[in-house]
Amino acid sequence: MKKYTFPGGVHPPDNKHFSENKRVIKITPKNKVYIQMSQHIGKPAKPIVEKGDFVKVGQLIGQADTDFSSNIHSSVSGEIIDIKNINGNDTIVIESDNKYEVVDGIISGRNIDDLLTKDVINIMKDIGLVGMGGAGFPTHVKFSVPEEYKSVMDTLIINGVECEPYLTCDHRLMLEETNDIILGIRAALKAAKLPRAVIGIEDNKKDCIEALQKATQKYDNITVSPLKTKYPQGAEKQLVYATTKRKLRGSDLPFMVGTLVVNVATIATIGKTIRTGLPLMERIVTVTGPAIESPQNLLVRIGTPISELIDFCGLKTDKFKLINGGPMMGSTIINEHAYVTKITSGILVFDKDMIKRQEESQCIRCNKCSSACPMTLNPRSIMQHTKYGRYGDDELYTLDCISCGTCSYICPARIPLLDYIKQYNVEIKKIHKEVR
Amino acid sequence: MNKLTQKLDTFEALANNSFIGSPSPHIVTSRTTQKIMLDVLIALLPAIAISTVFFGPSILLLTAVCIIAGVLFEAISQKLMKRKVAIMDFSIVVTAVLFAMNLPPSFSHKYDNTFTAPYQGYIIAIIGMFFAVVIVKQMFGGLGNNFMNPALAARVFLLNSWANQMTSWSAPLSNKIDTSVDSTIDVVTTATPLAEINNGVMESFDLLDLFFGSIAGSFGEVSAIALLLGGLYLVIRKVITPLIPLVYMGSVFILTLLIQQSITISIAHLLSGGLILGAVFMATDYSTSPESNKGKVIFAIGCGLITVLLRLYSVLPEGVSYAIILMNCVTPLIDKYTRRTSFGR
Repeated sequence: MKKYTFPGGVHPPDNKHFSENKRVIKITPKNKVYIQMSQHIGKPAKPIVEKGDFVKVGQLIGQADTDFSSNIHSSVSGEIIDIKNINGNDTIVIESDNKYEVVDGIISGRNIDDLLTKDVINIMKDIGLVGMGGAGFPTHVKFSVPEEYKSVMDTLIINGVECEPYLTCDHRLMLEETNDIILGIRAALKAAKLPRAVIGIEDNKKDCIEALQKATQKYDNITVSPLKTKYPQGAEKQLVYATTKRKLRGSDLPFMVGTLVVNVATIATIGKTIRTGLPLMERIVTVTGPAIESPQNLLVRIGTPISELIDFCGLKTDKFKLINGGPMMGSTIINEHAYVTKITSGILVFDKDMIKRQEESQCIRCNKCSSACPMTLNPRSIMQHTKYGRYGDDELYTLDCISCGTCSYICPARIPLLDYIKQYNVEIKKIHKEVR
Repeated sequence: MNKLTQKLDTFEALANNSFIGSPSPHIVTSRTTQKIMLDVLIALLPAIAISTVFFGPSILLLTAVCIIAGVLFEAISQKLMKRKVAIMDFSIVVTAVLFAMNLPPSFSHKYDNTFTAPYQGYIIAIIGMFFAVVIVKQMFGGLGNNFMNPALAARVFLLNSWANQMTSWSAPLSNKIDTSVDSTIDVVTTATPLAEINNGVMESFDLLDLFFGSIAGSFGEVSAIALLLGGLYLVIRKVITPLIPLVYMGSVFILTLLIQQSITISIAHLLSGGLILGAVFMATDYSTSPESNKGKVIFAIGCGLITVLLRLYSVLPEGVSYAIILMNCVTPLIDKYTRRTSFGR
C-alpha cells in the first residue's frame, strides 16, 4: 500500500482506542435545545420565528443572511420558549415535546440521476450545510468556484483523515454510513462538475480504508488514498499536497490548484439529505478523554447541551478541563452554557493534572519547531521577533500560519510558540491597517 | 479509588467547575530539554567507558570535577545575572562532560612531566570550565544564545594558554612501558596518530587501533566505534539529524583523498583525532549550527575544509576544534542566507 504525506508534522499519541470501536449511539435531548444562529463562518443567520411559536423537526428557524451565511433548522419539535444571547451568540431555545414531528414538504428518496448541478448546490444551501470538520465554511459558497478557475478544476478531495488525536467521529461515520458518503460524493461531483474524487484517510484507520475501497469498487472515478498517520495530515493544504502533490501557498484556496476539499461528514450529510430529505440538524460527536468513564460516539441533535452528552458518558472527576474539538486545535469551553453545533466534532474532557501548562524555559534552538512546521515557517524566529516587539518582517510569512499547534506541541522547552505567532499576527494586522 | 463507584452528578460538577480557558494545543510532547540532554549523556557513555579502560579510572574523577565546577559556575552566574537557575536542564552537564573529553588524559594524573605542581591538570580544567560557562555561555545569554560551542571554545582557550600541557598525550595503558625509572611520572607520553597521518604514513598503529581507540589523544576522542555508537543512538532518538556528521566526515574523506591519494590514509583521517567526537557531538550543537538543511550542509562542508587545511598545512596537528568554532561564528550569516520560505512560496 503506497502511502502519501506532506513534509514536516508530528506524531502525538493518537489515543483513539478509547472510542474507535464504539458504535454510534443516538441520544435525544432531555428537555430543551439551544440552537445558535452562528455555527459557521460568515454572517449569523436571522431568526425567523418568535417566542411562543411551535416548530417541527427540520423547520427553518434561522434564515441565511446574505449568501455568505447559512440556514439553521430546528432539530426537535416543540415550543420556542426564548430567543436570547448566550456567550455572544443569538440562540433560539426550544422546549422539546419529545414527539419529533417532522415538518411538511420533506422530499425523501430522491434519485441522484434526476438532480442537476444547480439542484445539488441548492440542496447544500437549503439544508444549511457547512464544513463539519471544524471550519464551518458554508459548503454552497465553497462549490461556487470563480469563473476563471472553472477550467482547471479536476479533483474533489474528501477529507477522512481525522488527524486530531482522540477524535473518532469521522472514523465511525466512514464505517457506519459508507453508503451515504458514496451518494454524497456522487452528488458533489455533479455539483462541482468534477471528473474524479479522492478520499484521503490516515492509515491508522485500516478498517475505513477497506470499507471505502470496497464501496468505491464500482465507481472508477472515486479512489481511496491511504495517507501516513501524521499530524496535521488533515489540514487543507497538507491534504491537497499529499493527495495531488500540488502546493498551495498560505494565502491560496484549494480551487486555485483545481481541487475542492470537503470533510467526510459534510459529504455524508449531502447523501443523507438526498436519501431522507432532512436538513443538517444532527451530527456525530465523540465524547472522550481521560476524565470520561465510558467514551462514546454519539449521534446528537444540534442544540443539545454538552452537559447531557457528558452525563451520558459519565464523568470521573469533578476537576476537569473541557475542550470543544481535538486536543491540538480545539478550544476550551469556558462555562457550562455550551451546546452542540454543526461543527462540534468532539468533546474532550481532561483531568485536573492535565490542565496546567508547563512553565516556559529557555529556547535551546533545537529547531524542532521549524522542522515540524507543515507550512515550513520558523516559529522560533517569529517568537523572538514577538518578544522584542519587532513586527513587520514580511519574510517571516506569519500570516501563512494555519494554527495547527505543531510547534507548541513539539517544543522541548515548553514555549507556547503558537501564542507568539498569533500575537505577532495581531500586531502585524494592526500595522497593515495603519498603512492602508 | 472510589471515584468509579461513586457516581458524580455531571450537572452539579459542571456548575461547580472552575473553568480554565487556555489556547490550543492542549497537549505537549513528553520530550523535554532535560530528556534531550540526558540522551546526549547516554550517547557519550560508551566512549567514556572505553577511555576508562585505556586511560584508567582517574579520567572519571577529572570528568566529575568538571561537572561540579560547571554546575557551580552556572548556578552562581545565573544567580548573579538574575536569571532563573536552570542547572536541572542538564545542559551544563553535557558541556562539562564534552569539555572533559576534550582534555588530554594526563590532566587526570596527580603528576605529569608537563606540570609543575600536583593536580595542576584539575586546576587548569576548572579554569577552562569557568571560561566555557561564564564567558562563552552565560555572558552571551545562556542556553541557546551562545555563539560558540562552550566546550570547544574553552578547549581552544586552554590550547593557547597552556599549549605544552594541552598537547602532551599519554599513551593508552595497554602500551604502557616501564615507569619505574622516574617515580613522579606515571605514564609515558607519545605523539598522536595524526602526526603520522598528516604526513601520509601509518607506522606505529593500524586502522583497528584507531577504530577501537587504543591510541593517544584527548580522552574522549580515541574510540571511533564508541563514538559512532553514541551518534547512532542520537540519530535514533531524533536528538540530531545525521546530516552534519555525514557531510562533515564525508568532506574530510574526499578532501584528504584528493590531496593525499590514499584510501587507507583517508579512513585514518576519519577515525583519528577529534573528528568523530566533533562531527557527531560538537558540530551538531543546537545553538551554534545552522537551522535549515541547506545551511547545515554549507556549515559541515566548511568544517571539513578547515579541518583538512589545518591538519595538512598548519603547524597544528589537529584542526577540528578550530574548524567548528570558526564555522560557529558564521552560523548566523549562513542562517540569514539559507532562510526557508513558507510552504508553496
